[in-house]
Amino acid sequence: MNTADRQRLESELAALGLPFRLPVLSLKLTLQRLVMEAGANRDFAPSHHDPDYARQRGGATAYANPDFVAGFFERLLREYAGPASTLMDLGFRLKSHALLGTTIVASGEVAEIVRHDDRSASIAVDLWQESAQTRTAEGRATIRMWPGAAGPE
Amino acid sequence: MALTNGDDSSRASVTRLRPGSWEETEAYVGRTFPSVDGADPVERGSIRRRLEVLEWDCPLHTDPDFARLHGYRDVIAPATMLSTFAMPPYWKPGDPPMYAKQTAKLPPLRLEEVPAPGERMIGTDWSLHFYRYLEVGDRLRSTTRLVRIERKRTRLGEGAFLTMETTYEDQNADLVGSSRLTVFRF
Repeated sequence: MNTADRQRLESELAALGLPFRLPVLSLKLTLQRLVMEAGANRDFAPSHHDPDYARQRGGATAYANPDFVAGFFERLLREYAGPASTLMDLGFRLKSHALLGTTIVASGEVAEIVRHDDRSASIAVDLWQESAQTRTAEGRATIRMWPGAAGPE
Repeated sequence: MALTNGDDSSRASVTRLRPGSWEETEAYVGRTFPSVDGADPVERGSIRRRLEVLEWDCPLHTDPDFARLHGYRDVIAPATMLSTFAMPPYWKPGDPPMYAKQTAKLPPLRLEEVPAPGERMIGTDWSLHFYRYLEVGDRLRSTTRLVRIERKRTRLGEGAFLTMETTYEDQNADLVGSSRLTVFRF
């Protein structure tokens, strides 16, 4: 994105009370968190909570499943855009495993903003999660901001 | 997710992936599996536990008054909980013992029912197109089909990328979202 486009984007985002960059969130992937995650999302595939099983199948250790990645991205988007925003689309590629024992960091930045006739705006956001500077997931989401909606409370 | 065939000697063994040829896999493209109903309705405890593990503080998902201020009837579930509330039970009354043949069951996502070579699968891509937030009391029905197969050799070996698409309807048969999951089976 060139400087002029970036400035235009930041100006439009400022009118909505939103910054260009999303906050930076982090979560430690302890074994307990992976067990809680399995209970929360109901994916009990052993690779996601059993380190021995994951290693038997060629992995380094247990790792988080796509539901964890998706949920973490959704939390990030909500904390960025606030309670009046609506998630429209979310998609990501899993680049590497989010491994037990690591700390997963999530953040992103705005890629595009589209204004609609009803005065709402669609904001496309590039997202990523990483651990020890290695990308574990990359993707994009679209959120809708409605007229009169403020940024994060 | 990683879904693999187990063997009796392993400490944990999971449901076997359905074997088959790539021709059989390709014949499955476009085939729709029977719809399934989620095991439980959308309810506050499940939502709270989902937020808890992600350390996610948002009153839309915990405070009914706050949710109503934003136009909802009650607290809403995160959009990314569609698959959780759509998941059928791992066991229900009348089913045989869960662990008669394996020590762990794979999530009932239909992936293991697609015939293909290879005994392992690993998730590569995930996407969600979302129409409306689920509210307490909603119930989901999901329908899944294989939409794409791409044969490929990767660093993991000879295999294929399989893309499954799932649509989610509520108790009024209104579409609330659709998702795609791509796995590499090898």
